[in-house]
Parts: sequence; C-alpha cells; structure tokens
Amino acid sequence: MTVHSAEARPVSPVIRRTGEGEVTGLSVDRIVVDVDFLALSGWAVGGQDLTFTVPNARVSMIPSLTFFTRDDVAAGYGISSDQVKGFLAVWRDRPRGDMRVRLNVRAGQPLEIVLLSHEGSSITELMEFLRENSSRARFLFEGLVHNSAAIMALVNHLEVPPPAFNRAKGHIEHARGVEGVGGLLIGWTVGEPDVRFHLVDERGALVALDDAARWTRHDIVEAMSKEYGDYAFNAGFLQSWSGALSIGGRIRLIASVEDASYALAETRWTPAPLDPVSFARWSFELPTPRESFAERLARHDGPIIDALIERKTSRRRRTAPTIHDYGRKTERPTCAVVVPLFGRHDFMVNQLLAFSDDPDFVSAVDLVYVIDDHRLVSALASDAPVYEATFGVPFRTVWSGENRGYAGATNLGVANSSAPYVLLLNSDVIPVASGWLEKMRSTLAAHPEIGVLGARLYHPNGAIQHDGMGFEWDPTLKVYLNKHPGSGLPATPSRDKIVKREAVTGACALMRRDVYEAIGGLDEKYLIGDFEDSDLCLKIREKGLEIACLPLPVTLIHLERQSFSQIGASSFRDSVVRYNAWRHQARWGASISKLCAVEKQRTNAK
Amino acid sequence: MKALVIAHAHPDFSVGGAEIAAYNLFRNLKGRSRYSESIFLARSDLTSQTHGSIMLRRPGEYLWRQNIGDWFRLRTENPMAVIGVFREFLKRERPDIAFVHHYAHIGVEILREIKQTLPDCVLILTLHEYAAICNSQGQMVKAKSKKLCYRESLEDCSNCFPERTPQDFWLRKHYIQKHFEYADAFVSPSDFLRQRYIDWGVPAEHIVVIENGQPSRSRPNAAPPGVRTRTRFGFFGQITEYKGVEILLQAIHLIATEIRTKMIVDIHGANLESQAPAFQDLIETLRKPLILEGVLRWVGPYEQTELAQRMEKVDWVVVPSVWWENSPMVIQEAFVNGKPVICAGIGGMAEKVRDGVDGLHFEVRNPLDLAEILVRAAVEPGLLQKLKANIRQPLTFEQCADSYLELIA
Repeated sequence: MTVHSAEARPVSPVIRRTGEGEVTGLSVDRIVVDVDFLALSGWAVGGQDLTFTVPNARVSMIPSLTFFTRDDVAAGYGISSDQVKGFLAVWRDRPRGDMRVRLNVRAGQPLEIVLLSHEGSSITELMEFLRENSSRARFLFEGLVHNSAAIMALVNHLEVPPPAFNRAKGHIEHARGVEGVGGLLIGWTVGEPDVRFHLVDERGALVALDDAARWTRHDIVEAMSKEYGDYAFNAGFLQSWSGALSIGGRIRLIASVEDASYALAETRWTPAPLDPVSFARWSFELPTPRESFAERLARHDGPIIDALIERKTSRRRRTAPTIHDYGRKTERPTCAVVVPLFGRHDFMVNQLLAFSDDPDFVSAVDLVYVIDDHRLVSALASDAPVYEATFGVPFRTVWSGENRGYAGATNLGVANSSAPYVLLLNSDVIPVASGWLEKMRSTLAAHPEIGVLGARLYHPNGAIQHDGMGFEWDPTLKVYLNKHPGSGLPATPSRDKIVKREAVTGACALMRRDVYEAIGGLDEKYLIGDFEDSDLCLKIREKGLEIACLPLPVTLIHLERQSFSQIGASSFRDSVVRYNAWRHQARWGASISKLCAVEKQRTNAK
Repeated sequence: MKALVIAHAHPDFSVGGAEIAAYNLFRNLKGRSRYSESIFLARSDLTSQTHGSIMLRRPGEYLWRQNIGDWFRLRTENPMAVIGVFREFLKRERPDIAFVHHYAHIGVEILREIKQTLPDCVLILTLHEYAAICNSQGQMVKAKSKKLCYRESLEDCSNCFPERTPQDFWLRKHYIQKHFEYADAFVSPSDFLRQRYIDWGVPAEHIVVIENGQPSRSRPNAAPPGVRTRTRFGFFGQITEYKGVEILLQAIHLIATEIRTKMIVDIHGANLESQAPAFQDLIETLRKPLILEGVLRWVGPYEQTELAQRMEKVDWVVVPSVWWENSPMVIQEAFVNGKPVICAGIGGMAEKVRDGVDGLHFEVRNPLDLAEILVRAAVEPGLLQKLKANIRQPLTFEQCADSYLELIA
C-alpha cells in the first residue's frame, strides 16, 4: 500500500486492519524542508522497523531519529498507547529526490508513503513544526545545531523548568565579550551526568558546554550538595564564545533531559576589556585547574587574547614617536644599545653611572632608552637632561605615546637607532667593568655563522645568572619552558671562546642589524613580555644561523627581578607566563622537540 | 696649598660631632701658613637662601643650600646645583685637597664632581656613621625590631625594609660605592667603624683611623672637690631613642634605695620634646619619682661653651647608647675633662673607653648590668681615682689636622 504525497503536504495515514483486529499504520504528519535540513514527524502503529530511502541519492541517508509516545493517535484509533510510536526524523543534509518512508511488517506487504521531492517550507510551517516539537528540543538542538534560524525559533519556544524540576540547575554569571572578537561565559551548572547543557544566543548560535573548562566552586558545593551530592562538584564553567556577538544581546543556558529542554538562565552580553592585558587580568582570575590551564587557553581564552593583541597592534597610533636626543649624538656609532623602560627608571642612574666609566663604550654606541610607560614620560622629561649633564653619556629617549610591551618597545627602539650592530639590553643589567661590548662585537664579527650572541650574566653575589638558555619539557604545564643551565651556581672559568647554545636571553643580546631586520625583530604578540627572546632565537635558527653565548668574567650584573619569578608572588604574572608558554609552544613546540632530539643525539654520541 | 673642607652643616647652626670636627680641621689648617687660603663649605637649609646657591658666610666660609632628594641612594635633591653652582665654585677655588666630612644632606655626587672637575685634587672622605652601609638611618640597628645589626647583606637589608628588594639594595650599594671610588682615601674616627666599612667593601688600605680632635687646653685647675655627699654621674647629649637615657633611668630604679642616697644622676640633654610621644611618656614615667626622691636631676639643654663647666661637677660620665656609635664626642669631652666613662660595651664606645682602665663597660641595653656598675662606681673605694689617673689626653685639633696632612704627604 503506497500513498504519494503532493508537495510538502501531510498525507492521510495509511491504516491496515487484519481479520484478527490487528492494526498497522503509518503517517507523516509534517514535513519541513529548509536549505540545509529536512525533518519529518509522524507515527507508526505496529510493524517492525521504519526505513527512509531516497532511490536516487548517491549516499545512504540515515536520519537522526527519535521515538516517543502518541496518546492522541492511540485514542483516535482506539488502540493501546504502547502500540503507537511517534517519530521525529531529521536529515542535516537535505536528501534530493522522492523519499520512501516504509514500515516493514512481519508478514505481508510493508506500508509505504512516498514523499515527492519538494523545495522548502514556509517560515510559518517551520515555526509550527518547532512549536509542536518543542518538547523534543534536545533532539532538535543536536539535529539542527548548524541551522541558527531553526535553533533560534526553537529557543523561543523553550520554557522555564517546571517547579518540580530538579534534574539540573545552572546560572550564567558573566557574559563578557568584545564584538568582532568573541567572549567568555562564566557560570555554573549542576545536574545528572546525562543532562546536556548548551549556551544559545538570540541569533540561534548554539554552543554545548561539553568542553567547558570546569572547576569546583565551594559556594555551589555548599548550597547544592545536600540535594545533588557529588554532582555539585565541578559546577563552575568557563566557556568561550567565538562567534558573532552583540553587547546587550541575550544569551541563555539550556539544560536538556531526555526529550525536554529548559531555559535555566539568561543574561545579556556585557563588554569585556578591549585591552588584552586587562582582559587577561580578568579572565586569568577565574580559577580553573592549573594543570589544565594550557588546554583551557587553547579552547577558550587563548584565542580571544590573541585576537585582542592583534586588534590592539593593528590599531596603534600611526603618528611618529616622540624622540629626544640628550647630549651630542655619537658620530658613526658601531652599535645601537636599546633599553626599554617600564615601571621604573631609576636603573638608568646606575647604568649611566657605569657607562660613564667606559669612554670606549660611550664613543661607540647609539644609546636608546625606549619609554614604554605613561607613568615615566614626565619624570624622564625632567630627569633625562640632568642625567646627561651629570654622567656625560649621550642618549636618546623614544616614546611612542603608548605602552607596547617589551617586544614592541624594543622594536621601536631598534627602528629609531642607527649602527650596524644592535644590542638588546635590559635596564636591570648593570656593567661593573669596561670593554665588554667591544669584546662581544668583535667576537660576533668574527663569527658570521652566529645570528645572535648573548653574554654570561651574573647575580650580584657573583653566581651565574645566565649562561645561555635551553628548553625543558614541563610535564605539568605540558609546554617547553626556557631553562637557565647553571643559574645560581658558581661560575666556571670564563673564556674568550664562544659557546653554542639553544637560545640566549634578550636581557643582553647582540645581533647584526640586517639579521634583526630579516627576522622581523621581536614578536610583539606575547602578552606583556616573555618568551620573546627564545622566540627570536628560534626565528634566527630558522634562517640557518646559530646561537652562542660569550662566557665573560664578572662584568654584567643582572638584577633579575625575583618578584617576577617567585611563584605565588603574583598569580597574574604566573598566568601570563603560562599564557606565553602556551603560545610559544603552539608556535615552536615541534621545532624545539626536533632541536632537543638533535641535542640528545649529540650528547649520546659523545 | 689650598684645602677645601666640606661639611653637612655649619657649627653656627648645628653642633653635631661631625660638623664640629670638620670646622675645627678647617680652622686649624687656615692657621697654617701653607694652607692659609683654605676654605670651608657647609651645607645649609636656611630658608633665606636660594635652593642650590652657594653664599658667603664670612671670609673663607660658605653656605650651600642643598639637601638629599633620595635618602635610599643618598642622591642629592638638586643635581643641577652639583654640576652647576658647585662645579663653578670648584673651578673658581681650585683646592688642591678636599676634605669631605659628610655627604648626608648633600648627596654622594659631590665626590664624583670634585674628581671630575679637578682630577688632581686629593679627595679625602671622613666617615661619621654607617649611612652608606645602612638604610636604617645609618645606625646599623634593625629597622623594626631595633636589634643590633652585625652585617649588611642584600637579603638582610631587604628583610629590614621589605618594600625594597635585594636588587634595590644592590643598586643602592652600587650607586654609593661607585661614588666612593672617587675618594683617594677614607678617614674613620674609630677602628670599629673602619672595620665595618672594610666589611662593606672599602679596601682596607684606603681607610685609616684618625680620631676627631678636641680643643687643646689644660685641665681646668679647679679646686679639688670638697666632701662629696653623693657620687655624681652625668649624662650629656641628645635625648633620643638611640642614646639610652631610658636604660639609665631604669638602672637607677633597680638600685636599692639606701645606695641611691649615696648617688645622684644629672641629665644634661636636649630634644626630648621632639621625640615620639610614647618615648616621651616612658621617660616621664621613669624620671618623675626619681626626681622627687632626689637621686635624679633633670638639668636640660646646654650650650657647647657650658659643657666643661657642667662636666666639672660630675665624677663619672655615663654613655648608655643602645646603638654602636662611632666615636661619640662626649667620650672625648669627658676625657678632656678628666672624667672616667661608664658606657655600653659595644662598637665605638667599647673601643674608646678601656674597661677597667679609664672607664667601665656594661652590657648594652641591660639596665641591671648598668645598675650594678653604677653601684660599683659609687661605692668601690679608690676606683674613681684609679681610672682618672689612666685617662689619656685625647687628640687635639692640631694633632688631628697633622694626621690629616700626613695622609696627603
């Protein structure tokens, strides 16, 4: 028995009764066709399995299918309700051609309805269909996730949970985003493990919370564990939103249980900080487990911060930086010394006092202090001329008008300097002897295979602070970190001979200007500043050049800011390191693994 | 030869040991024909004077309005005056020798400036306390616990001032030492202070001990004291938290009443009113019953010219300081006046007063120990006479100046 539909119209049910009063039947109540899906609803009585075939389709078209009871049909035909199976079938890719819906029967002919190929339902039909099936929202969410119009319509029919509903609870506490970039949603959910949570906005964009970063919130445990026991753990969620968003737009938290879905909570997008550091300051406070921080970054806030950095960099002022020359400009300098200043500038006093003792240094360098901090501009404007007059060391200050971070500031300084060599120098590296720069320069000049030459740096007590860097796999963070072999230990005898290293610190690094320019300088996309030096070294390696360190005697003291490296002293600083380590890993993980393997081979061969 | 003596204050306005020593060196040099042109430059804070300016005080004596801008690194408040007015002053005066008696209130930059402007000028720096070593008012006393400090280190100093990192203390030391490098030699009035500076990094061969001079005069030929009804002890100096007057008062309380009737303590001191209220209250509580009882006399401030006369009236001078001291002027003054000294047995005091020879030591900050020493001094027959007889005449201004000049030669 076959019935053919006309267009996308429901067709009369096909009913067959046997002599023994046994009833079989098949009906398609509604057909909804949209550009990217096809959905059918209907019911079947008796029979065995339902099949859907499109004879001309190149691939088999198996729908997402769900069954449910249809008391209305049972009542209408006077049969018991366990004999009637309502069904809902959704195809994500719309099958083209006529479709046969067939109910196979144990003995005898199957019942069959042929749905003729048709082109699209009206919006009204779509809405009606979704309204009818809103109690099966969970099934439809999953089937129609790609169709935001359908999701949007579906969400509009969602109800708040009935008072007795206790299978899940949840709330959205923050929805903070940047239009055109993305946002983060923070909240909590509790419920049985088979409850599925989604976030959905008013445009119908839907994100499952399956991969949200989760953590245990003690307030939720306290409030909910009486009722939810263990399910109250790990309730906190952090979920990124990478699609479009508009500030003020609605976003809802949906819980789906079996067939039903309910809107648990609703909020509106509020603006997140546009500045990447401010954004990170907020988001890094959210206490997801430290051991999965890298994973969280990769899935959630990492790409947002990356995009915010990109956004900020692309919006930089185009105006020329403010440049002041103090003292007589060095004629034909051999080396530019570029020192970024952030936070404080009193290091300058010690540095200039030390430089003033080294006339060869003074006559050979183009000394550039890059002001990278609004707070220092005015202080330097009044102090710089006094410093020059007191110490007799000419220098230049460069201020771009904004804080650019270590890399941005250094690149700006290099761009506003002249000399065939470039020395990157931190303000907290203070020389205590003369002649070191010329020694470094002549060494680099003699080694064209070296791309960047670092220097051995010392702690104030004479122990080694830096003698070249290597990479070390951190199994908890799951990233490569920079290691400083020998740091804190007594110095081995210093030599004039260079030592090849995997990388060197940017606190004191000498390069030929053409090399610096060829690699595009320091990467400005790290947050605040970190890992740019090893990034720089890896870029130089890509160019086929090598990295080396000069083991100078106690000449350069590096007052490495211990407060920055002390774990716990600043959890934000620590998170920034983790962010940068994650970014560094994403970019260089494979190269470092290869480098470490080669290194290991070389060590084993010895 | 022309000498320039620089001090952090002029004795016309301030009577600290360092400025008096500096001024007397100047006066003594000027009295010598070879150095008749010598000049004195004292820092001033006179509001009538323009900031940074150098102004004639009287022939050969100048006042320089200057101050410290950064007490942490001992940096001057007015660096432009160092490379401006001060440089001009040096170029005009062109001294052959510069004796710098202090950089406090001026800034260490003058050391570099002197040698940069006049490379041939011999520069001698006299150290008067531990300011370069210690950020705790140069006292080498822990900032919060007030414990005595035995050594500086970047970490210890940062513990004392948690708002400063060890790196900050390195920068401080680097800045000060770089300026100290310009001095040709250092003078320390005590061996104790010298050793502290050697430990800190001044090469031992660059630092010599020359005691501050004292006026050369014969001991006043006063009539021998008549019948003494009580042994007289005297405290002379500032009443501050570091001078230990409270230890002395507590010690008196610990002495049995019948012995207290055999003694009296005179307090000759100034500036109690400018101390912290808690300290003033402590002193008030301690002194009140003793004054009523008659064992304590609160005499109050004195002029420098009155000192000899006042000291003459006592048998013993007590120096109960709770910090190291360097070479307290009061000890030299006591010896000039022939008075044995009872002092805390540490630092410059222990060095200048020989225990059991020309004075007695007690355990620093220990009132009971001091009480027992006071009792001994009051009752032991012949002790006072024995110690008096051992007192050596301190260095005179002239001898002191001779020693300074030997350095140059």
